[in-house]
Amino acid sequence: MSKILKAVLPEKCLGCEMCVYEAQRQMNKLGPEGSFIRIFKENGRFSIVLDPQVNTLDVEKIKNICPQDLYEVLDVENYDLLE
Amino acid sequence: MTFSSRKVLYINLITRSFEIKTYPDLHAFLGGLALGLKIISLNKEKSPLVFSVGPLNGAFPFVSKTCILDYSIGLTELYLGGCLSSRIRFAGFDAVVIFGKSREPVFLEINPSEVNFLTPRNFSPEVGLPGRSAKLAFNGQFLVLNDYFYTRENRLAHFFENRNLAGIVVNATVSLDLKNSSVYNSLYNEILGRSNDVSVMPANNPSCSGCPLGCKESQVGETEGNVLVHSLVACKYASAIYSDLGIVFSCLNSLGYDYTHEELESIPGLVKDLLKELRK
Repeated sequence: MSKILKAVLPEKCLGCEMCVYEAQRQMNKLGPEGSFIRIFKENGRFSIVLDPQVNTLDVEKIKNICPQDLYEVLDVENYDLLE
Repeated sequence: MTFSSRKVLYINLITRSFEIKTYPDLHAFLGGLALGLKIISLNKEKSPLVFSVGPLNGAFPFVSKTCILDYSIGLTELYLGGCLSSRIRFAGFDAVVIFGKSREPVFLEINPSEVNFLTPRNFSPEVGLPGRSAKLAFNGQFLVLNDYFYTRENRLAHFFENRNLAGIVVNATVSLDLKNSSVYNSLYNEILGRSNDVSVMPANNPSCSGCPLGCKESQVGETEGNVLVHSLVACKYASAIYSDLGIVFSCLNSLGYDYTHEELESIPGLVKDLLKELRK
């Protein structure tokens, strides 16, 4: 079983980027460049784009760091990243 | 980015040129307010506008502000939230300094190794790398960061207008490697767990980068406050955490910065001397 991160309530996003930086910390990096999570602002609202490679990280930690609980972690069978 | 030197981007609006300088001898000034004042002291005659950040911006919770100093009409000290501080830091700079007045309205696009001077002829509202930029632009008479944050009494707008500066976007494409990740992560989580020591009520407003609280206070920037906090540049509402020399020393150490307690204790004295010089 694989764990998959999903933004189920993106409309609650505050743009705090805690998830962006958690993903980077797990890669031993600081800074938004290359993060598997991107936060955009369009028409006054934040939107979240997840690179599928985020699921190679500890997604429970990413889910838990969000102050708005907008992420869920799904258990999925046979989820393989495309090479 | 080196840990003992300070890297400063100078932008000349008259000649539309830029220069990146590295200062090995400004280590003592840490960042933010202290570094910004020293930069002004070195460039007084050019009446600079300085955006300065500190070594903890983008790395620790609640260290989310940018120090902005203007020396065109006396000395003005402002602080702005949002994601500007992390973008400046991860564009590779400790400070961005702007001189002169442009002959026509100009929009600056700041990248780690170059500055683009955009005029109404070649400016696009979509300027800036998605998800990795901070944009300061006018919304009517208000100068707004990422459509939400602005300085107290909109004062930064006046300093932009006086320079014919239509806006700035900073693109953050530099990432840093964590050298001491277990110590750093432990400290990060310890500080994140102290959100009750931040003197704001959590809410659902757009939040500064690196702060989970979404408070209503962050929209309008701060003015003066604790010198160490404003040299880091942490949020003033997190002063209970970041005015503690022990915490600051540990944070700096975990990132590879080589400061002694004595150097950190000397920062208020350095700032006091610089303020005395600049307010003559």
